[in-house]
Amino acid sequence: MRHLNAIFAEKPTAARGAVAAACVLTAALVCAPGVAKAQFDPASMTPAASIIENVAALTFTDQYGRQALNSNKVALKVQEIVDVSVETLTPELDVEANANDQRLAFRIRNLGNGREAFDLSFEHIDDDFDPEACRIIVDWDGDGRLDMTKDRVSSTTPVLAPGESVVAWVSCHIPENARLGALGRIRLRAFPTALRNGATVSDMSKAGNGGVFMVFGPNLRGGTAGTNGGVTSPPATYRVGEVVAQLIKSQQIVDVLDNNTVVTGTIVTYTLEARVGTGGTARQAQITDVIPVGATYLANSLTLDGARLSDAEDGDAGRFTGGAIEVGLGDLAPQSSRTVTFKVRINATGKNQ
Amino acid sequence: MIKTLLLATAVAGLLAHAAHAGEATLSTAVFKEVETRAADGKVTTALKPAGSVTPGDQVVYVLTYRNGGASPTEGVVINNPIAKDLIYAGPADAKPPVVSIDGKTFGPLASLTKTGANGAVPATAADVTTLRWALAQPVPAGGEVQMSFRARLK
Repeated sequence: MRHLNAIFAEKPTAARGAVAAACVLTAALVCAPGVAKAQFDPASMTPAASIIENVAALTFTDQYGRQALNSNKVALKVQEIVDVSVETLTPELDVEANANDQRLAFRIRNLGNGREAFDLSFEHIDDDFDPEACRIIVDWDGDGRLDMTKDRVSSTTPVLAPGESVVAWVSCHIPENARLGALGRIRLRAFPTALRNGATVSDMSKAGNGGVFMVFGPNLRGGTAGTNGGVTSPPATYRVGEVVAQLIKSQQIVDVLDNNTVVTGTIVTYTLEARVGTGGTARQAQITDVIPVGATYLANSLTLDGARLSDAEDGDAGRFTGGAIEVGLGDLAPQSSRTVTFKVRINATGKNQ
Repeated sequence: MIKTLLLATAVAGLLAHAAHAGEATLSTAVFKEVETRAADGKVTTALKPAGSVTPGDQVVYVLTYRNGGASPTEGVVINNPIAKDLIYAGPADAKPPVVSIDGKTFGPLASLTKTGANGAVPATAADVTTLRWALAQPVPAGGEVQMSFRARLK
């Protein structure tokens, strides 16, 4: 089930610069169950290992009357084109020195006519600093959102159908000594898993689906053939700045069917973490998040730093407005964070209730 | 005894028909067009037998009708369905077939229409499902006629 990946790539929203007098953090996220997977041209290519047969039919008249017969059959076997693209979804991310789990998002798309997985690796591009302790997290359930109960730290994508894509994040630590304004850049590389042990003509002669010949498509042909080859993304850049505040949204799904499928009745817990950097105090910070289309807010599920908030507009910091949750965080000191959670239930009708 | 004779006659008739049908043959072969560029820049295209293809490849089908009988044949009609993964890409010789998008109505491609969202629109090569050659002239005994067409793999 990989049907939500076209609509969302998680990217923390950040405000940068001087101290903000009032800081409203809005998480404009959508969760529409059943959104169709975006198809790409490769999906209309003839699948690898297909057999294309041709038989012609003949009729004619001779002295015995009208006759009919068929030709012999000729068959073509379809070889596999293997190719991939790696798109950078987070070209630039504002970070602070010594920050953990700073995520850059990428999208890996199978551009071939076979079903293939791709090995992933990242590389540093020479710049002011090298991001540290990086790991690759693959959006294994294909919903475009990071959820560590469903997604995996992995250096390989799932098997992708022709035209299908998956999001992966590279999550790094920013070095403590990275100075203000410094840049750290990485890029993500993808290479067909089937050619992991070599990409010579001999290796490729039976590597395709069903044992057919595999040939490189334009992107892979442009790279260096072999295990060090592959397709790389455009650079993604960490920029060290005075980040006032960052809002990171993640979700966790209680999977009623245990098969990674978002179905009617599924409860989704959203976590919104507001992180304030060294850039200054965030004054009168407020988190607003609209309930996604196709989901219903679960009454009394709002919490702030683990403490329950009532839905009514009353003495506590939070409320449910009917279409969104709002939580006032007050003034947030530098290098502090506060966490809001709430739950929604996926509707049968695909509409808000 | 009579029954046996009748049976023998019937078998002889069948054998005669089978032998006769074997006198006419329709053979089909498929090739890839391979371009080679000489040192002087001249490009030549050669047909090489095709066994495997990749999406986007163009292939040429060659159909050969041979009248192996002792007398001419008339009204020779050859139908060639286009596989769903292929797109008809035109004749490969000077004998263009008539085409059909439904297997019933045949004509030049420009004469065919299909029903779109806003009424009839011209059919395109991608809509073609069947090719047909109807030979105007009888094929003499021992005669051979060749037809060919191009197709591209989706």
